[in-house]
Amino acid sequence: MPSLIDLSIHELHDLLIKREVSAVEVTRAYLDRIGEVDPKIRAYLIVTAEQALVQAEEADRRLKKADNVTPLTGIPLGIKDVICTRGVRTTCASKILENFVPPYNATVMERLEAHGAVMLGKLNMDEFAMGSSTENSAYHPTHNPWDLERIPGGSSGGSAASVAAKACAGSLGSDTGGSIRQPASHCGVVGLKPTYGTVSRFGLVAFASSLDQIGPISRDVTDCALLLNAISGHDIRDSTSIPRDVPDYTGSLIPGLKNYTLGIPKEYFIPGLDPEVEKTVKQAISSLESQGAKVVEVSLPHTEYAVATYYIVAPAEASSNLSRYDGVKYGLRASGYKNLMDMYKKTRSQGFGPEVKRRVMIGTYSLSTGYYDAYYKKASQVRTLITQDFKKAFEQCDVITAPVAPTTAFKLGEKADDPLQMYLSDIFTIPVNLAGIPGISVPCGLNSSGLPIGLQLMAGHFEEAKLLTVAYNLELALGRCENWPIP
Amino acid sequence: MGFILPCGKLCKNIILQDTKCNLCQGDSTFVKITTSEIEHVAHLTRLSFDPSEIESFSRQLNDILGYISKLEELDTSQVEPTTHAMELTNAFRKDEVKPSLPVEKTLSNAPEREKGEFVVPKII
Repeated sequence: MPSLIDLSIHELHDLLIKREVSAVEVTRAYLDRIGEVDPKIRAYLIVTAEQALVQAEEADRRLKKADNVTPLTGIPLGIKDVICTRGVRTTCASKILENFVPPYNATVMERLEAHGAVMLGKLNMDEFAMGSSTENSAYHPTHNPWDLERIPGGSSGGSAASVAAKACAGSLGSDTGGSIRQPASHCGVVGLKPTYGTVSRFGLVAFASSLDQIGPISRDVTDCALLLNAISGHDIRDSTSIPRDVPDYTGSLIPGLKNYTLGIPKEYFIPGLDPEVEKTVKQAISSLESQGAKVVEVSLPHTEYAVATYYIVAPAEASSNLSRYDGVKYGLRASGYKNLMDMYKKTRSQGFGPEVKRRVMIGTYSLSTGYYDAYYKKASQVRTLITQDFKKAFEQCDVITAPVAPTTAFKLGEKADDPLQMYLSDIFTIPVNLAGIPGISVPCGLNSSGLPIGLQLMAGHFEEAKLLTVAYNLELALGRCENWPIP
Repeated sequence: MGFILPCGKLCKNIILQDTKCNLCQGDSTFVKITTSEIEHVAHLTRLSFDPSEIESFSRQLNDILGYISKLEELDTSQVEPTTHAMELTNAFRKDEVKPSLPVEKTLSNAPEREKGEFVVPKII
């Protein structure tokens, strides 16, 4: 029998229901694995070993009685530290929330608990999910398991690195401008950003509320569908959650792409796109074509304005959302203040890292008197144009295929002093969030240094099933990334 | 709005990954947000900075705002702004009392609390 940590969620589930292994054994295997690899990867901020074993025992009771068993019962998962977990410290990788222990669970945590899933711990990220490399964590950076000198991507860097390093069976991340898809691409795992409103944001610490979505990161496409099944669905506590029946996403894991038309947006194949990434992505598209899909060229003419639009909309919303950190209700309160104003300023200046300060400043500036029309209103109008681009493109195709990121994972420190260059690394993932549509990153090859490359698939609102079908077929053609020979 | 270049010209162009103006090759790194504006915005958002931080911050913010001004290339006079990510109006729920967290739990994370209340510095 292969080692337990080598198995996907659906493979583990088969063993668990046959009682060939127990949830406690699986959980212990993962805790051992964390002990072995996490000192090098540093994906976890907190490992909740004791609680995990209690949850595993409970899962074993359910499995034994065959009582309310689902594909996630007894499966050990990692959770991005932006998601509130009752009784377990939730820091958002920020000093301002260093001692914050949520008195309630996020809706996604309630759902995972109802499934009897096991939480191994909380995963590292860029502070408040602002960043593309996980270097903005106030605690420590995370290293890419494929090359420890490189970043895992971000902001869900811990979520992607832990899955790639087999330090959890699957994880949850959050995606505001590519924060699930880009790290998934850099770590050779599957990451999906659902349609806005599909997964409840209740208990997700807010960064940019009109863009944020929680989504799964997994070893393969089947696991992605299983996790999405568990976390999706309407929630009355999130008024932007969409009242809509959730399909069984595993139903879309079917071979063959006969009736599919794939769109290739010419604006995503531009100078600045690494030639190896371009070649690998195009090969993946050809492989989908050979499985029966038709391929057409489409145009998303406003792509080049997406980053500029995002860096007004997201910071504007962040500046408002982060005003709650005032040293009164929860989190840090600085000492040695003279009065209330001084307390606010000292608390926020000590509690926030440089990237958070930059974004809050940009947001406040762009919303301030005299600049609102030129910045925020303008960006909201361009957002409409970007959304219309997608609507037009989806009249010609079912799924758009593109790179996830212009390059493979870069080295730690490489872009740390140049925020604008860091922002531009999200150029291919940001449009999806602005339009509210779903997107997935699927591993599609390795570059000559053996670093993973992801293929991005995008579809219209609520068309996750189409994404999963195409992603599943790519996986069938290429096999699992961990088995690919390094060129 | 635009970039005031060392040559004194107003420049609306900027080349990506290069801070040179593509009209006159002037350096467009200093521009629209001044130190005093940064101090004003910092106050609005309840942050304070050391003078040395302000210098590097204004450079970075100017780079970013310079890049963002790319949006000026587009005519959006006839375009409706996006106000919601998805078409969804009035998510109503029944106006009824439901259980909520007890005061003790709600206050459990407050840096200072007393007799079931948040403690704040004196304001009057």
